[in-house]
Amino acid sequence: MTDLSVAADDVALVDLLDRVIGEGVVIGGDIVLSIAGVDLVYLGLRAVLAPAHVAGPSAIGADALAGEAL
Amino acid sequence: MNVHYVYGVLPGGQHPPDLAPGPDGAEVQLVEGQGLAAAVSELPGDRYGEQEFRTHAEDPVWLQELASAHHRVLASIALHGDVVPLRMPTLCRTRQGVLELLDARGDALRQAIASVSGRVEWGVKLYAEPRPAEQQVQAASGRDYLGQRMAQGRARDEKRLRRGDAVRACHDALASAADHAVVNPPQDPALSGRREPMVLNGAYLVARERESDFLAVLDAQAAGPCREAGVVAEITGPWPPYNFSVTEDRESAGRP
Repeated sequence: MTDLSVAADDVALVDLLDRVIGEGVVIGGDIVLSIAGVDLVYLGLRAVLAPAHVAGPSAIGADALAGEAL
Repeated sequence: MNVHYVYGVLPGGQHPPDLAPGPDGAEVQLVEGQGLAAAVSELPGDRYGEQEFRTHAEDPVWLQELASAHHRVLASIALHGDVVPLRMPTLCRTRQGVLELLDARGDALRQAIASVSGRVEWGVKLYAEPRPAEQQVQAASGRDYLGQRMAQGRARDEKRLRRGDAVRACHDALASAADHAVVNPPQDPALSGRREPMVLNGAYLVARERESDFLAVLDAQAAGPCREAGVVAEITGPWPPYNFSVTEDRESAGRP
């Protein structure tokens, strides 16, 4: 019914990276050149982005789902 | 030396009418084998090789451009058919390496395709609305003051409970309108760009013919119970099934 988000420009960076880098099938072993360090890539990116935007505490615990945030 | 960058895997014989180009406009080819097809671009190793990923590990611009291209290619396939996204980056040295990948992981990939076939992913994020400023307590006595403060505390607790109930009910309703559902950790506000705490970061695998039902369920939840409990909904999608492309490889890699 709806068009898939083909225009990646319309997609928020965080949603994009969560999926493209954080999800998807991982092919391990000798078949691919390298897969190690992918999580590091993401962590590194967070480290780069975070200080530019963050003001104040940013931690959201798992208890947010239980409505304990705020 | 060039590398073969693999975006995802689709059923063999499925020919997407409009394959979007890869990074720097690179052509995307389908490499077929084992009844499967890998969507692949041959890219210059000095720009997209293994070492380049290490060099640019903390380069948001570089990563964003590649992630956007990766997503664009997968979305252009998912628009007309099925695709199992591979995680960025999946690199092979040669075209033969891509064929070996299809051969070695054939069973798992076929299973993954079957489980997402005819389905798309929707993302739903719920945020807690900021708490309104509490009324200044105007008390005639110390005991009165204490009583009013305790009443405010009880009201806060009740609101928190109501919010938790609304979030769970919303997720359950969405999950029953979907074939599969996952709850991901909330996104960091530094990255989401929103100050309100994220109280749900859900992804739902929805059959194409049930999409309007799914969206109607979300509308009803958002306009009703969520709103009453001070919870705001945000939807993204439809996405290629990133969150539901699970193979044993991934599970054994220690992911939830």
